[in-house]
Amino acid sequence: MSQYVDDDRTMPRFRVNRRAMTDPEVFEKEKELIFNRSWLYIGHETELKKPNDFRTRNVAGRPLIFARDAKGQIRVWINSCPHRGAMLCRQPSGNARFMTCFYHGWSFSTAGDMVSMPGDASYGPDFERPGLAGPAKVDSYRGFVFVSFDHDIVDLPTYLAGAKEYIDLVSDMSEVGMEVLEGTHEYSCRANWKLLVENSYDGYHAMSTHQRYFEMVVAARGSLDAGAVLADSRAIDLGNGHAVAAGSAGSGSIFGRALSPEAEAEREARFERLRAKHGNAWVDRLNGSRNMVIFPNLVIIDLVMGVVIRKIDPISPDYMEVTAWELAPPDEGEELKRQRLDNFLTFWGPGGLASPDDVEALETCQRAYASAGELEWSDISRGMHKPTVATSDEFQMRTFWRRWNQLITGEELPPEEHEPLPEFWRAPRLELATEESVAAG
Amino acid sequence: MATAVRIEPDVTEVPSGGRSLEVATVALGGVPRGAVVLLSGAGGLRHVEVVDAMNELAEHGYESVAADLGPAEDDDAALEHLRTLLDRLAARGWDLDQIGVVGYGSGGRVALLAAAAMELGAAVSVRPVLPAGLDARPVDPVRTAWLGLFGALDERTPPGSLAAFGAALAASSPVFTQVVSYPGVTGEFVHDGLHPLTHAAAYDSWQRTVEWLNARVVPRPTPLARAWHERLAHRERLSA
Repeated sequence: MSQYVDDDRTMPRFRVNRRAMTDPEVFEKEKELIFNRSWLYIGHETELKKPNDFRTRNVAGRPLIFARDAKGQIRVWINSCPHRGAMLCRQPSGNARFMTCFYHGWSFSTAGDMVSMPGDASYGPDFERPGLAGPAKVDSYRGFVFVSFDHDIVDLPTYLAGAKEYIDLVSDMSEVGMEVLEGTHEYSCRANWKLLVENSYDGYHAMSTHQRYFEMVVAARGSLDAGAVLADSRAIDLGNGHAVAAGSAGSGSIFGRALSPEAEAEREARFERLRAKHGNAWVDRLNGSRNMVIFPNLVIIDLVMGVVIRKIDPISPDYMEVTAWELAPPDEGEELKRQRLDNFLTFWGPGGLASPDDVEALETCQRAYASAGELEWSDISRGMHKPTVATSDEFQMRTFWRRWNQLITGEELPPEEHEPLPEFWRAPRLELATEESVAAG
Repeated sequence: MATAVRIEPDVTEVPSGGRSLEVATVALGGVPRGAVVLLSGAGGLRHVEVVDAMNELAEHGYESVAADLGPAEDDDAALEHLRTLLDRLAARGWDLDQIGVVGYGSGGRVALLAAAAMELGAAVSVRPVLPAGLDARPVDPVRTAWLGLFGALDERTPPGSLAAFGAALAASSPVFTQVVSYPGVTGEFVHDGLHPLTHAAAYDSWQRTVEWLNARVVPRPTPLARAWHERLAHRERLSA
């Protein structure tokens, strides 16, 4: 049995040893065995609108330049001059065809080619001029750009497995493609990164931890009758350690302040157009809530009428940094966008009513793990014995932990058996001919 | 301590658009980094300021040609003068993407027209004299990355109109554009001054201008760089 995961199918009970959250040796193994060997999210293509737009990002501890080159191709470079190592780009974002190292003046294009070096005659005629280095792999799916530092990793679609379908769901919310809005939430948390992974699709904690938020929603709406909708939900294993907690039809709009009639009408009209394009059953799914973790550290949550993309960066065993963006339809009217943003910001981020509660909960967990000698295990068993698992169960976390355990210890645990998903959660995306597309020929 | 060297440009009369245009040139030895067309005119730089700017561009490795276009002419005539200056640089071996155009006053208007008409290395308009009713006009997209620097108290380009213009230009253009409005100053900031806001705007606008050029104007390759690119191309041909 793994020293970190106790997966007892007879009781049944699933426990995680708290040393997984505190041990520096585990943290080093995670860097090597997980973050150096996974596909990791770096950003969304819509963050780079024009040729030579760039963003600087940290992924797996590496400083990276996420750029669109002069020809429009997405590029990712290590943010370090191949000469002596200084960072080429020291701004969070901008636009530049050429990036010049401020240390010795070597200059490179966004395509990674060296374009000039001061006093090059001192290097001799046969000197091989280095270009920028990059990660082993860069690929994107529906605008979500991933990198991997593993030359031998499977291709991105294979890696994403069932998570592709849920990226499709959030990407299909606009007929013209979704875009990441300008502005970023950046915050930190004095806790192990995996605690936020767990928290990100943990439906069980919502009512107790976020009481404040729900009191606000009840006050704004007059009532909140979410019981039936929340009960009809599923936690789903998407393969390769990815999992989602998915709500049923209509669950996407039960939280947050209610939209105005005009904004609601605009939203409904868009959904009607999408029904004609992709089918009723797909749009019913699209109109549900979803909290997904793409292993190991990408979170996509569609709740409170807004999609959050969250990237979790482990810094040390007891400290993480979090970056989050909102994905929204670019063709939305100003008033609907305002109400969407209001709901988004009321819930998410350092100034929201929910994120600070989560940070507080996770930081107290981490502080309490100082007593791991006396209290060695955390329990993640909820729903193990049930034929179906809901978002308030902990199947989704167990899915993550089994993959984590496999990569860290080599121990492969059998998948958990539950009843097949009902038709609602299996409805496919259709490509229907609409009047417009027929007219367009 | 090094002694500051001031280069006096060569000045020649050149036929352009049916008249004679006075063109100042600062040519550099070695392998200059790039070239700049410096345009002035109504509301633009004074003669001595043009020479100052050409010297400062030289410090950053840029050759330059400059002309005062005088009172605003129609767009076609102004672009004809620009082409005359670009031809002068082409004669010294400069490609369009190795050239930046920096314009002041009505010269700034020409820099914007040039950005819409051709693909240059970069374009900067400092206090450009733009048509009235700016935000109500359809905005022509630009093909060259364009930077516009304005004084917020300039009555010809009020901040509201300017913001609308900047947003429309960004939305319509396939390349990056940026509008900067300096608070508390009129367009006279181009001449620098003792008032802190004026001096700050003048200092910042020059800094932004040079950085805009450095980030976009394609550097002229040195002989060794050219040989390196030829070796790379040869290897690619062999591997193909």
